[in-house]
Amino acid sequence: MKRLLNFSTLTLIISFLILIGGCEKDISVDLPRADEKITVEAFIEPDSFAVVFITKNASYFDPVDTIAVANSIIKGNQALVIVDDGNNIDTLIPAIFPRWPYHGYKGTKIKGQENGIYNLKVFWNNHEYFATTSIPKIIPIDSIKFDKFSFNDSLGFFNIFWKDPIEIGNYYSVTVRNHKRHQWFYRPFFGIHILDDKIDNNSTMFYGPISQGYERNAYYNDFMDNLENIEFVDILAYRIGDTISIKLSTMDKMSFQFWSSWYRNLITAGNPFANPASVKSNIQGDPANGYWIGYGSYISKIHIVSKDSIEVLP
Amino acid sequence: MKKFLFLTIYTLLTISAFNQKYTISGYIKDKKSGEEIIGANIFVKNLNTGTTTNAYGFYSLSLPKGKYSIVFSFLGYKEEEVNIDLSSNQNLNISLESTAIITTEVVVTGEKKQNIESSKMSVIKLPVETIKALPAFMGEVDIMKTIQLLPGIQAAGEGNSGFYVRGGGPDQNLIILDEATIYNAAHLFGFFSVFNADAIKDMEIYKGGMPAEYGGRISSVLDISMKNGNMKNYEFEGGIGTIATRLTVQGPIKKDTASFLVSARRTYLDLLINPFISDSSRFKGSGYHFYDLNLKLNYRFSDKNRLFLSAYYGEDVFSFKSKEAGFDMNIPWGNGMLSLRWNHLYSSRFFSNTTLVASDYKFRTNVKMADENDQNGGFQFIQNSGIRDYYLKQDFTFIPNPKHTIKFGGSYIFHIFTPNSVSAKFNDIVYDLNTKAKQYAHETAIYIGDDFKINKKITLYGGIRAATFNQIGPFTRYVKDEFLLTNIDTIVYGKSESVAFYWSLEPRASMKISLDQNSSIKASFMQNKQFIHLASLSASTLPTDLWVPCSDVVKPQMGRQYAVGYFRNFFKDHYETSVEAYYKKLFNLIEYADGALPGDDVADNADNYFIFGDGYSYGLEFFLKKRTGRFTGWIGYTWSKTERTFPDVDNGEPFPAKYDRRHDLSLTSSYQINEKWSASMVFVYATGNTTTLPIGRYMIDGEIINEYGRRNSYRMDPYHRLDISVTYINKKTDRWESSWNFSVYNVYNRKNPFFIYFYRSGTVTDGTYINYAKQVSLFPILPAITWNFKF
Repeated sequence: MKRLLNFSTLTLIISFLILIGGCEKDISVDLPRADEKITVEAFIEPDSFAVVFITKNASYFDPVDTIAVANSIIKGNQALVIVDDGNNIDTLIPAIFPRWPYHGYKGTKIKGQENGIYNLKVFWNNHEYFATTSIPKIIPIDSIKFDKFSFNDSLGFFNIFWKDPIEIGNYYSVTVRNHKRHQWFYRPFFGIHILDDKIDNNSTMFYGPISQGYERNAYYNDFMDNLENIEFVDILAYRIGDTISIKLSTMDKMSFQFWSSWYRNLITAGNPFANPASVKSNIQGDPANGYWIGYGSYISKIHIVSKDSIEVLP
Repeated sequence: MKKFLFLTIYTLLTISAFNQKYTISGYIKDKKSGEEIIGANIFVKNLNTGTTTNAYGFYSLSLPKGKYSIVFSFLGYKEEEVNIDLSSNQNLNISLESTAIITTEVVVTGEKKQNIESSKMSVIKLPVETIKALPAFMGEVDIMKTIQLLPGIQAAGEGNSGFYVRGGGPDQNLIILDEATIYNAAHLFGFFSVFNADAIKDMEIYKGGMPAEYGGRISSVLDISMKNGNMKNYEFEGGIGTIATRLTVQGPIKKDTASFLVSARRTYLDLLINPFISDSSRFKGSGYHFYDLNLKLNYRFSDKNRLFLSAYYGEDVFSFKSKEAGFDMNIPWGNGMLSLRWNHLYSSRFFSNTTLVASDYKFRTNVKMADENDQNGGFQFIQNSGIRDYYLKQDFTFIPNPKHTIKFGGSYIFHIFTPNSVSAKFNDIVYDLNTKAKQYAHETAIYIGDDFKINKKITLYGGIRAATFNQIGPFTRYVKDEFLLTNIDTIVYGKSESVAFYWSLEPRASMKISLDQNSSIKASFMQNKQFIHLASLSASTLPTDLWVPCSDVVKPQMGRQYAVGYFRNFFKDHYETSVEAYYKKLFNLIEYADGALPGDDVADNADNYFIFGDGYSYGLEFFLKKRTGRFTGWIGYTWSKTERTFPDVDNGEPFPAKYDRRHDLSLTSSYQINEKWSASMVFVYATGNTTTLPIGRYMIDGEIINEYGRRNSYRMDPYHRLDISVTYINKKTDRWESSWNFSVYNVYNRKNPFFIYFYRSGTVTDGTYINYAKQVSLFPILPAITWNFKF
């Protein structure tokens, strides 16, 4: 909330300054080229195989067309991706996934386990990258509440509650999947999807209101450009008959640091008054962006039966 | 402390006892108003020696028995020559008559040599009349804008409230108004300063070679004196301009004994603009104004005792209201100060000033979100930050003989910092975010300095200042892990318990060697520490920036500066020139860590998110000034380089400071066409500011992430601008003066860069994504008319 306010204050003040006489013009800026780097998006969850996406960065003003986009995706036998748990080695195989960049790599031997430690190795174009992560203890969702809208009680958002453990330093993320619409878990549209127990340690924590998830790259920009023509609630709220999975994932400190710096980069991007924020990657070896995260995930699947009842599915 | 004082006084008195001399002392005033003149010259013709008046218009000169011809002078005044036969201590108060319009090339006897004769270097003094002669921005005469035209002092550009002295940060400038610290000297992000020129008498800025009586900041001192108020007659002065109205009233409470001055100013830009904003505009409901109030009272009990009370209060208020959205926001920020000073003359050679000050800076955000259906008040959010000082200062000036001017004294400040206090209320639920904790600190200092005229050629200044800083409880330190994520421990300090203690010993020295009657060379050295820092989350200076004390994790900033200069006057002192070179090293500077955000200090300490580093700056400053005549003005040029090194930025490689500027040129001139008309112009050119821009991009979880280039590695276009103004005096009598000022800001409508931002459109994944760079400029060509009056 506060972040939003600070930003809007600044926006208003700047708008006001421009209103009293300022102006803006398109300029061309001569920027140095960015070094070629890969971006790794990789995770492993309990009872699941590792999933790895690899893409390439681009210089800021590089043209973006369908060919450039296709070329930015590393797929098939272009890279060698290996996961090990200290005992076994899993060479990932190329696979197709229902989210951008669609092409990625998937494990076939090692499934994630609570408290397991996993190493990732990527070989690409004579470069070598590696990272280590662990899957923290799973923390179950205690209860789910459906919050109906006052103006339309067939629509609403969810709130979830869970008990934070006694020791401080637990990090969470919340993602959702509406089974009617999505084949993947996405960040909810509203809010920041990660949180820690800095303030609420050892108490009942809650996250909400949880809106529908969004696959950003596919719709997001169009959505932002057409805000005025879109019925907000229609897209963001849940309705009677929906089946939803809510995933509460725990993660280690490095992973939380990655996501918080990622948010800082997003929030400060384009704000000329902010200090630039770099995303803190946990990928080591040759220079790379991205993450390798072990999530301790707990999933609650629910069905909205009527405006007053939700059913928790097994 | 007592012992130190006693010994000092004893030593000083002993020195003087060996020199059997008589003292001539007194005040120099303006004949018409009775206002004391600061920095007026006293020149003994027969001995070719002299002195100047201090900040209270007082002078003291000890001479051997004899007959002297003494000239009293000040720029813009007719000089007075007095013949005296000195055989005992004498009190001599002098009133000088102002020469309102300089129609002939006036030759000033005494003052001309100050710049080459004094041991002080890197100091510039500007009477408010000089400032008023230059073009005013939107009709508002501005001290801060004018000092930024001097070499070595940089404006950060439009939209930035700070100024930068010789590569130092905006928090490293000590700005004092009648001895009280002003923490934020800017209105509207630096477009105007908080100093209403009608209430100001004089200002002096030290870029280096700071005397020992000043401390607490490492780059510069801007010492501003308010007018005392007319001791003889009531006077009304004011102006009605394009964006603001001013009114100053001054006069005697008791003739020649007590006087007052009240000055007020308010802008009405909001009132003018609002009717033109359409109802559908997103700016509808927004408003902005600022106001200032100055008050001064002074009472002269006798020639030996005098009391001054100064007060200032000013505020900027930004507001935004939207009935439809149920949104009501109000953001006020501003300074207040109250200063009480007592001048006492122990003897004609021993001057004392005692100061008591309360000074305050506050920034506040009030937000209320509630629609008509909200019975319980909806959402409310209040944020507070600021700093408050209580200050006690004792200064002594002792002039045992014309060779020595010794100043010594001490000060004590009690600081109260409000780092970032947040409270929120949602209907009946109050969220206590545990941020109300204030921070407290004691700061003390003692100093002594002597300006010693060794002989006619050499003058030496030596001084030392010792200071301590003690942050005390109550205070809670949140100890973080290496990732700055988890609080692994908390340390709670009780009331008055010491959290951190620092001390500093600050030598100051300068020397002048006269080469001939018209030229001298000077050198200076100073070392200072600064116990408070201004933490800026943004790349520019904003009123939201936090003042934070040194603590167990934040060390004092330190500066060390060396300077040399050559000073020369030409053409019977009508022209003065100087070249100064400086090298400055800065230690323990702070910045926020990468991507720190407001709100990080909730249940935390803001200083946990600081990173620390050092810096240096060197430069060459050229100054040429035409002081007298119909045509006056100056050219200032600075070549400089300023870099910072932070281990956490760019792997510890040096990077240019935000305000690193290779070239900085200012040209000012004013011309008195005739008794009715005068004209002036200002031209500035500065290398573009640095900024950090993204050089690459990549995608994570469907979002485009920026990859930034090296810190401050991109330089924006240069800044340049020409302003002109014309003043027409349509009536001028002894009783009534009325004039019109026509000014044009940014005559050739230069679009100077304020900031660059990037605009995106389309979607990466379907190949329609495009990035544009846009440059925002603030002020286009801006004409303004102001009517000024005085009676």
